[in-house]
Amino acid sequence: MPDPDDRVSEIYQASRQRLEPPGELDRRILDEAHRAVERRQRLPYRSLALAATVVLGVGLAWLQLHTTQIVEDATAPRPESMVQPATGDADHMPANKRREAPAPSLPSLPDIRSPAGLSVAPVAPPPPARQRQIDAVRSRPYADGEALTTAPEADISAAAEAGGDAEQALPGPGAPCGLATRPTDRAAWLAALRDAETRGDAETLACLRRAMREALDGALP
Amino acid sequence: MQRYRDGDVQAFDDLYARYRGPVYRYIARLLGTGHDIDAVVQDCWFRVIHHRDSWSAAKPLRAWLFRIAHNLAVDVLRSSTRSPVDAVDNVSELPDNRRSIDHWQFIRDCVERLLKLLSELPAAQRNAFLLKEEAGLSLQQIAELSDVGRETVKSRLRYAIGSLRRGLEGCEHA
Repeated sequence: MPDPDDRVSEIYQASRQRLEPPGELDRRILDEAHRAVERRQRLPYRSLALAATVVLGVGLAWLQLHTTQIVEDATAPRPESMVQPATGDADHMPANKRREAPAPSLPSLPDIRSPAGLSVAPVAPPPPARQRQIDAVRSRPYADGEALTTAPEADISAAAEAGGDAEQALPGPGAPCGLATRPTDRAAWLAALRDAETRGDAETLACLRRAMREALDGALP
Repeated sequence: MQRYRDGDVQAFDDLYARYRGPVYRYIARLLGTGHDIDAVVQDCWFRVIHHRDSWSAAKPLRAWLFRIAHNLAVDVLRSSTRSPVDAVDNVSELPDNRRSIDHWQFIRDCVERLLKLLSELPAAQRNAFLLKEEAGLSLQQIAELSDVGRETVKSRLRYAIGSLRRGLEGCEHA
């Protein structure tokens, strides 16, 4: 006599044989299982691609910013370094701070951006033609017969008066009005005047007359 | 399950081949007709797939799998007042190998009676019976899965089998 509990179980087992999930359900479940594995296998690559994209983007942004900064540094004017070279502070200051430094932070310095400021800039400009002319007169050797006390002043005055034409009047040291050498006596002045008249150079002629007047106390021919 | 979690798709195919019938029958016979059995079974397996990381090797796979099936089926039962009427089995297709037609008919009658009796059992008793017969779980495992004590499960099973045995009178020699 079998155990009644076992008989119930046996009968139940007999009922199991034909109750199975339909094939369509099997396919759906197995497809989902395969898709889930594929999704997970793709996940590291997606993460890697995302990370690479982020790194590349940051790198490009940094490069763009850095390039812009270099161009700005290269093209921006640096007034501080021009007016204050001796201190060395500007050289030690970072480029971006130099750029951002406001103009009022240098109250003792003139504003070189204005024409008026340029005239008082501490950097010594090249000596003007007038000054060079005066220097040339001061340094020239004196010829025989010239008054040591008056001649230099006269020459300086003539040279100063001729300042407007200084650029063309002084090709050589001490020689006025484009002459190779400075005339040392009345005959030389006259020869120079005649030469200018011969060439028809009215400008040089006028210059020589002024210079001769000053040099010879107005004794024009 | 561990192999499937590591990306071995074939491992899931093997696992599914082993448990597809028991899980399907457990849900189908616990719920009975009037429910979309296929949808519940699909939901159960999809949860297994998507929550495979929540399984640990320390847990028996069978218990973990049937806990998911149990929770889903109980949720469906709670949301429905319909009492299960077991007509999902195509009993007429039971195989007849070496036995005579009369004997086959006798067995078929007994199975039909068993399934009817099973569907008329209280859900808790039916659940305990199915977990024992389909999942092959121990009393302790059924107790843990059902969140009741082991003695309670033992009692439920005793009542369930007693009712079935009384209803199957005459089938002892089937």
